[in-house]
Amino acid sequence: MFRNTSSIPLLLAALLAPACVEEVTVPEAPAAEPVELGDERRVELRFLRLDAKDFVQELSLEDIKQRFPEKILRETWLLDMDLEPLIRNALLTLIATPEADVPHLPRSAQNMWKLLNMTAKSTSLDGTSLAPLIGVGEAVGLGPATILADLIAVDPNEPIITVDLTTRAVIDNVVSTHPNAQFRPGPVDAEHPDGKYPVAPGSLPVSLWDVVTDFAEMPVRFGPAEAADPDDPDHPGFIGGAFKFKATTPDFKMVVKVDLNALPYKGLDLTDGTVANVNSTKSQILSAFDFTSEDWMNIEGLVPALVVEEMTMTIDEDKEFVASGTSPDPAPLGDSAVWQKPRWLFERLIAEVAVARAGSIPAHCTEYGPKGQVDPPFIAVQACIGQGAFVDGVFDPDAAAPESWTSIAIDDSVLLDSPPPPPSYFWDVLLEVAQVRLHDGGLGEGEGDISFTLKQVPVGTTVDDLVAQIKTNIQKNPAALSAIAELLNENTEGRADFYYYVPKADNPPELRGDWLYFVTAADIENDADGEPVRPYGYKKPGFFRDAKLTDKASEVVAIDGDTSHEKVKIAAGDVLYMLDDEQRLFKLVVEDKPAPHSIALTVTRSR
Amino acid sequence: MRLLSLRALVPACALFALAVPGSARASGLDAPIVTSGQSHPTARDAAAVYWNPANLGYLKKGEVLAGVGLIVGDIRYDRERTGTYQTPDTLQFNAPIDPAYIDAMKTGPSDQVKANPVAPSGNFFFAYPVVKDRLTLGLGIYVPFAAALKFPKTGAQRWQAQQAFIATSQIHLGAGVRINDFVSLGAGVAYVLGFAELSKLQDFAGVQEFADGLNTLGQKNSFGPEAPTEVRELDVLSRPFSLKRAIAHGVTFNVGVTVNPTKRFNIALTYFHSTAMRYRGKFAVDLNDPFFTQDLAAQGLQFKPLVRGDATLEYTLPKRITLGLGYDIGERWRVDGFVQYVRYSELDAFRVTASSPDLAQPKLGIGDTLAVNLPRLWKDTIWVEASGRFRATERILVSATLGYQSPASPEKTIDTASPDGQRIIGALGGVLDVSPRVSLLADARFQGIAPREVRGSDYDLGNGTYRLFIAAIAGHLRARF
Repeated sequence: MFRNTSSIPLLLAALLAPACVEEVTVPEAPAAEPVELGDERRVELRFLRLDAKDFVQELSLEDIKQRFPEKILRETWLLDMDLEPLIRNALLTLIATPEADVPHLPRSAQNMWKLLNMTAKSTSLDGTSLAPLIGVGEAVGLGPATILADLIAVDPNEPIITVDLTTRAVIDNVVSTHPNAQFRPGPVDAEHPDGKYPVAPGSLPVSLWDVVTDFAEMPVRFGPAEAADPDDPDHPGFIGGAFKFKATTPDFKMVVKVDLNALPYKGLDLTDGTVANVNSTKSQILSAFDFTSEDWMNIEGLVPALVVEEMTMTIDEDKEFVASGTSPDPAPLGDSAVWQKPRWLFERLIAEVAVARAGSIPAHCTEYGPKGQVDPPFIAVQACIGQGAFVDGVFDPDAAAPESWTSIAIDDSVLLDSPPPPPSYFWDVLLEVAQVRLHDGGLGEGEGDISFTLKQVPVGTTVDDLVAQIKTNIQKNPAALSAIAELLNENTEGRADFYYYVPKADNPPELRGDWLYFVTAADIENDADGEPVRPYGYKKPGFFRDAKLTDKASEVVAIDGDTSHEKVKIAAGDVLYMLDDEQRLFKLVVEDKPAPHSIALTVTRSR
Repeated sequence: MRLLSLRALVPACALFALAVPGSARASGLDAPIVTSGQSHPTARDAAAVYWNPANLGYLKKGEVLAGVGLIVGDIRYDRERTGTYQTPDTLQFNAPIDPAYIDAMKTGPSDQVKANPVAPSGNFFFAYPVVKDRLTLGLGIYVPFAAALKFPKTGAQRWQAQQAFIATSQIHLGAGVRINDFVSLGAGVAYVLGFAELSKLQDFAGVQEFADGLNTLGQKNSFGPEAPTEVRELDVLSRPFSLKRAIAHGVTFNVGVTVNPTKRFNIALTYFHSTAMRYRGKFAVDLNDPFFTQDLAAQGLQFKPLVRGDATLEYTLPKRITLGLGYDIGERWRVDGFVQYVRYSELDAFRVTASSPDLAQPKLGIGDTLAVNLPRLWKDTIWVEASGRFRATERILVSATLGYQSPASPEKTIDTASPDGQRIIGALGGVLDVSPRVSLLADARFQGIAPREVRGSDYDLGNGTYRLFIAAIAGHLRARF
């Protein structure tokens, strides 16, 4: 008999145990322990590819708003939208304002309307140095419009300031000079350490943020802006008040197809010897899109016609009247103070328009006599541009003159209440007329800032063109979408110091095999605001053959499109040293491979 | 307190095994030994409640027949892969696979694996004539179906089975009505209690829901039940799975008739009905791999490291019809035997359904239930046995049996979860009548298959060579009153 009867259940259990099936369990993962000085740990890293093909990622407006930090959306640039069509359309819209409605516009807008509609015939020369021409006309029987039209070589009813010229001038002088039209924010990288990227001249940089916010920030972004240099004048901006532009419908979505390894790289956090994930998206972004396929990207749900519902354009004038020049020197623009004025001011803008206008006026002289038969023939007025000069008090129409130099010579026999206008450049003439007309209606100097609100202004770009432009831009620079793509496949985990990579099989033999990649700043995970969760604190990135870190084993080799990581090819028996982001020294010994796509390392903290 | 202690130490499966007569199975799911070797379709004993309730009608006295036994088995499998496989530590999911990822070494024979199940057994039968020479009632507690396997966890068979324990016991009430000396009729009804546990590596490459999930991500893939070998048996997708404590309840019946053309010649015909078994238990699957727990979380794939939940296992126990013959050659000799036709074709698959909220991956269209079918597509089987019995003395009877069972498993689906083949059966038995009322019965029973070479396994899951040998010894006490 059994003395100890309590052993019976044990014996029974042992006898019957073979009939039992073991339950699947998962042991609790041990808590990560910091690696202390001298600690030695063996780790295995695997490289696994999940090669997604035509992996469709669809982003609705809500997705974009909810899933991505504002910073990322701001830095996701879609295109530099050419503003010329919009500005032209805005000016055309202003010009097209029915005359009956003009009195209802603000005074400065009325004056701008007048300037844009100004012809030789409609121009009032009152209050300008050209006013004596009115007297000349009375004296010789010519209307001042005739002399002015002939001088400019246009029909008396043809606008002197064309929309095309004004548009170009606004783009070049008002828009392009705005700080936010010169640079846009983007991700910080080696080529853009300040996170600023140049914008195409005369363009509006459009980011995903703009699209999802219906361009609500336009008045702020293109309103008054401080100059980068405190000694420079601040830019007054060119968008004031409302800017209502809704480019998307509720059905908006961006659909992209990518080919990439969807799995993260497995790396090691030396701090505690744990395996960590490094997002693999950025390093693959250059090859992620199949640009040979038409549908690598689709943007749906844009409004059928891109129209700005309402916009207010502003152009500031100088606080003082800017005197026109009186000397041909300094060539080629003369001595007017307008050339020292900021380019975005109205006066400078008009001067620039005039310079451009003058370029199309051929050098010529026109002579005018009194009406009817005069014997001997009598020339009362000579109006010249680009030629003619007073020599010893006598006007010689054939004398050489600077380009666009304007001279009006009146015979002494013509009695005038005031002297004829002195010679000057064409732009000096126009600058004076424009400034005077701008202040019609009792506006004082400094009160003539132009501001006109327009509605239903076509952007001037079709949706198809817009989409094509976005696709072209991203095709040229797929990295523009890397932050978005990375977040779409967010799988960074832990704080890897380096990771394991196996190049694709189609690489040359010398590149195939097992590689360790040292992390870059781009590998560090971002927080909810799109900011890195930790600083890139590696003072000596890379792998070294010696503990003194003098003999570097790694280099930046281009593998599978990656050109940013320090990397080293490894084999069993290799010994490497590296500093982590807390400047602790580690020794890595490469052990025999546990599997074809895995490596084993013995890691020792040496310092 | 002692009961609690015992329960704590002895898992349910072991307790269940205590009651079963066999654990390494015979053809299909048949247990290798159900009753004493002296019981058969034409035998007139308490075990007739199982073999042929009509024979209960011929019992003139009450009888108790109870036995215990031990079953040992030797099951060996030499896997021989004939398919093409990719390197197990990669994850190329759409065939054809880039040759760079093909594992040239993963072909041909693997190391042999074997299982040596050892299990106790037991059964109990009781019969009592309630109307003398007319009506006898019987009770049986026995296990007609059982299988127990324990293969190495890391063997080449691990995707087929690592461990399995499936048994059904029946509590059977029967009645036999003796019409006259020539004819007797009988019928019985049985409560069927099933118990199942199993473990294996679940290859997610063969799971339709997983294939659908990748399709939801727009990734054309070759996964699913018909996955080619190129995408099977990948490390990351081979996840340990266990079904535990699965219990099924069912009811079945049997009927029989015995015809005795002469006093020496007996003919028995019986029918045992099928039973649909639905086991309900608990499952656990180890998904503790970053692929399942974190790497694709942004795409909607994020399981807990260990997913547990409810599971069902469904299959149908087959119906069978048996024709038994017995003839008393003289006072000392008797020969008997039977032919049994078993409708194992009713068992087309083991259907495992696992349900847990933790299985749901809504973004991938994966619900909280995963269904995994283990196709069996079994064939009907024939079981033939012939026995000679010799009364050596007044108190001693000896018997010898030869038999054959045809395999249920076809080449397409055979694997280590159901090793099978042309089975030869041999048995020796003896009866010692201790007294006119009490007898001791001893049996030794052997069965084995000739090495079965399989080359036509679907998806190369079970190609290789199977060997099986089972030995059972049993002792019974028979008392008549």
